[in-house]
Amino acid sequence: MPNPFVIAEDLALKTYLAGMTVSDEKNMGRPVQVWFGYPDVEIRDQKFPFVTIDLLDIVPANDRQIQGRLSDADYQGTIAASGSLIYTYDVPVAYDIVYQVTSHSRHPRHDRALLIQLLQKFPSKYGKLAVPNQLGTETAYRSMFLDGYTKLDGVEEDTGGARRILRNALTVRVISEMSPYVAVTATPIVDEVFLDKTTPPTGYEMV
Amino acid sequence: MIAETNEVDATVSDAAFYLIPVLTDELQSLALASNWPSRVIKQLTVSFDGASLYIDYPEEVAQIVQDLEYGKTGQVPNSVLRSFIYKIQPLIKEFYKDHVASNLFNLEEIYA
Repeated sequence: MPNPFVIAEDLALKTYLAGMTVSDEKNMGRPVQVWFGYPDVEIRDQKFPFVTIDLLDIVPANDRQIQGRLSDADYQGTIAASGSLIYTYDVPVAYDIVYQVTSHSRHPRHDRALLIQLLQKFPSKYGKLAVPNQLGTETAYRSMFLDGYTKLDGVEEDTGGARRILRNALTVRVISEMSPYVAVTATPIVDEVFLDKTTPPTGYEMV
Repeated sequence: MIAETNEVDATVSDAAFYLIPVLTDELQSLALASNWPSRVIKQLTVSFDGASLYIDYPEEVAQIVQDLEYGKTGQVPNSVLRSFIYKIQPLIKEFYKDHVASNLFNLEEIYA
């Protein structure tokens, strides 16, 4: 299924985080589920530990924006190439997509195991994220940066009393660009302009 | 002619002095747009410690700020502080570039 700007990065990040496991005395391979946003207990089963992804911001990356025009046969991976047709378009708009990746655990051992795995997945400035293009024909590896880490341990009150919750919040920045297809769709294009020189607006008279 | 080190420090401090109210307004506007509580917004400021600019708020609202910024159980993050930092970096770079250039170099002498 092809995915456009932002949706493609969302899915790529969730895929990248999928498959983590933690171990304890009862289960040597306890799976860690990944959700977009905090799971609502009324909608899905909340099994600790789990990881959440939250989109924080989409920031124009003006420092790496370049100007000019590009040409290719598949409109930067958004339209299937056909024959000798070549598309020319403005260089896409550069953006940084900022996420918070948070691990939620009840068990300190799970907390540390997840922290280690997350730090390996987001190794400071050396991270990369495989993002398929909109057509699904090519995959680009985007640079990914760990911009911050915060420990957020606490106690949550629920009907069963107070229970500890151990959380790690990582601020992750993925470099991206708005595809020309999205940019053009967002820009209203006027096909024809009619100039009516004979009917003055209300309150005005022809000179 | 290029200025001495202490002149650089003075120029940077001077630039920070001008930036602080602008950045504080920007931070509070962003918090308002993100529906942060007004009693928290009023206490968010940008300060300068002589070396760097930083976001400041009283200890009594620290937990509320952390919960809003990073989320808590059942509540998604509503980031303002990190968004602010990403957004103001170009503004700060531009300001310092202009301010420092016009203060450290004697432009009148160069372009006389």
